[in-house]
Formats: sequence, structure tokens, C-alpha cells
Amino acid sequence: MTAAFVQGTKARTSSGLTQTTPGLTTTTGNTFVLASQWSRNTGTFSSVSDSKSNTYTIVDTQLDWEGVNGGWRFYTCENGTGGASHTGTITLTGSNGPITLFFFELSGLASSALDQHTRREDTASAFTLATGLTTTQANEILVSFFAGNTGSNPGTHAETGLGSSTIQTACEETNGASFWTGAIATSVKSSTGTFNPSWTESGASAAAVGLATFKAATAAAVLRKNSLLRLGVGR
Amino acid sequence: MPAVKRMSSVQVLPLANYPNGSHSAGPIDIADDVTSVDFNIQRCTTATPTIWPNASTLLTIIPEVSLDNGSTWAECGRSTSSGGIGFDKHGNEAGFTLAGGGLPTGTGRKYRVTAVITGGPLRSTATVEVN
Repeated sequence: MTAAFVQGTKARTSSGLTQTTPGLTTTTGNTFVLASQWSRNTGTFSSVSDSKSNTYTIVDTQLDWEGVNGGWRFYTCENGTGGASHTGTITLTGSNGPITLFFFELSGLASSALDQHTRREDTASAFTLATGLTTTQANEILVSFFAGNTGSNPGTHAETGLGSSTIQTACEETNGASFWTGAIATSVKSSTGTFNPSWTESGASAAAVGLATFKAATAAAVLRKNSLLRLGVGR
Repeated sequence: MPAVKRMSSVQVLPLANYPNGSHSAGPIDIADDVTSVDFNIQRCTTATPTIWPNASTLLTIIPEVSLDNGSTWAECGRSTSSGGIGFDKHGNEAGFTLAGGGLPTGTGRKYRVTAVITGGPLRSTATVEVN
């Protein structure tokens, strides 16, 4: 089976406490991801949730970046419950501040699909990880999450390190004048390798860069009709 | 009313004291190339202390979009904010809260928003920003 990015959506506020995404019609059994960037000097992270009561697991830990300002978290729910009007929500406590939230769906993944993952702050463009990650299975989907500190509108994005990646525009925020900007890029691979995302954002001086790789489900062997299945016979 | 085009602003709540409860605006027709719509409400600042001054006054914004001429509606980016002074991404006092989400693609779309106030009244003014 081929792992795939199915769909995604975004929501953001320039100064708030909770933010919910628009709803998607999702499929039960797929993997759902919530990726968020907010201002730590106003809001303290409280929780993420979705409208289908799925349980989300954080990938790595919260990344604190941009001095005392940036907070970044990436959550997954594998083999989740989907359906109509499926939304994701982040809740903060404290003072109102900017929040950007991406919610997206992946399909064709193995059970326990999460393979390699890491994240860091980079302060020199092109923004990358310190070193690339080496996948352990040939068929995987690479997901890179980027958050930048540009004040430009638009703050345009490009990703060139994953090889033939796609910036998922439904999960991209470019208005740096009002919101935390960022994007999701995906790349489907058919052989193992070492991969390091390389992002640019116009006007950015620092960024949070993350990469998570997910194993594709392997197709079960199929015994076709009228085939000969040779069995060993004991003596 | 013709469809609201990209990079337009529509006032939906004139400056007033809004009591607790739900306050609806719209629906408005939005142009087919619009990608997102944001609700923009003025906030309390040092310079505007009478606007939404109390942190106990909560505002939940529920934007919705219809793809079938208003027969059915889907939420598109609910958010909650409290009153008092808030901050923008640069750490400065935020003069307004701008919030919303991406819109599903389609033609002939309609947009409406419901603002739910608790702990009010809430004194402010709001527009819808079409992107």
C-alpha cells in the first residue's frame, strides 16, 4: 500500500486562548495529526483534542524557540476514529496570544507507523535539522512541519531537502503580519534513505523545523484462485 | 448583494455594548477564489481601555460556510478569546483579535458567523476580513 497525505486544514488567531480547525470528513483507521505553533510568553499549553474523542500522542516534546516566545508541538493519533465534521482543537491558558493550528489526515500507514522523528530551532536560512534522519523501511511518507518568525505578508515557503516534496497548501499559513506562519511538506518514498528537510521562508530569521517519518502498510500476500501452493510433507 | 471579493472587509458588528448570548452576522456571499475568512474584533489596549476590558468576558466566534446555498452549514475555525489586554506575535498589545480558518473550495459559497458572549456585556466592533 502507498502511504499518502489525504487532506488537511488550518485555523489561526492573532490573539486568543483556544482555536479549532474547520471540519474534515475523515476515514476511520487513518492517522490524524495536529501541529501547532503559539506564543509561550502569553499562553501556556493545556491540551489538544479532536471532535471524535481520539487520543493524541506527542511526537518528541514541546519545542521552545524564538527566545521566550515560540511554542511548538506535533501530535499524532494512529488508527483513529474519523467521520464527518472532524475538527482539531488546541487550548491554552493564560493571556490571549497568537495560535496557528494545522490538522491533517494520512492514509495507508502500518500499525505503529511512526519511524524516525526529531525537531529543532534553526537560526540560519535555509532552515534544517542538525542532521538528517535515516528511515528503516523502504515505503514511507516523510512529513516535515515548519514554523517561522517572519513578519512578512505573505511569507512564502519552499522546501528542497526531502527530494520531490509537496507543500500542502491547506496546511500553510503565510500571513506573518498577523499570525504565526508555517507549513507542512510531505514526500512519499519507495526506498530507504537519509533525509533532512531544508526550508526557506521570506523574511524569517529563525524557525522551528521538524521531521517525522511514517511506515506504509505492507500488502498481505494473496493466494490467487487456481494457484498451486506447495506444502512440505513430513516423512 | 454581490459576492464579497478577496481582500475585502465587511462590518458585521458596529461599536456597541453587546449583552450575553448569541449574536449572528450574515450570511454573505463570498467570491469563488476566496481561500479564508477571518473575524476581526477590536480588543482592549492601554489606548482603548473601554473596549472589552474584562478578562472574565469570553467571546466564542463560530464561523460557518455553506456549499449548497445555505441548506447546510459547516464550521470553519471556531475560536475563543477573553477580554482585557492581549498580545500579538511581536509581543505588543493586540489592538484586535483576527481569527478564522481555511475554507473548503466551492462555488457560490456563503459565510456566516455567530459570536457567543458570556460574562458580558462586551463593548466592541467587528468586521469580517475576506482573503
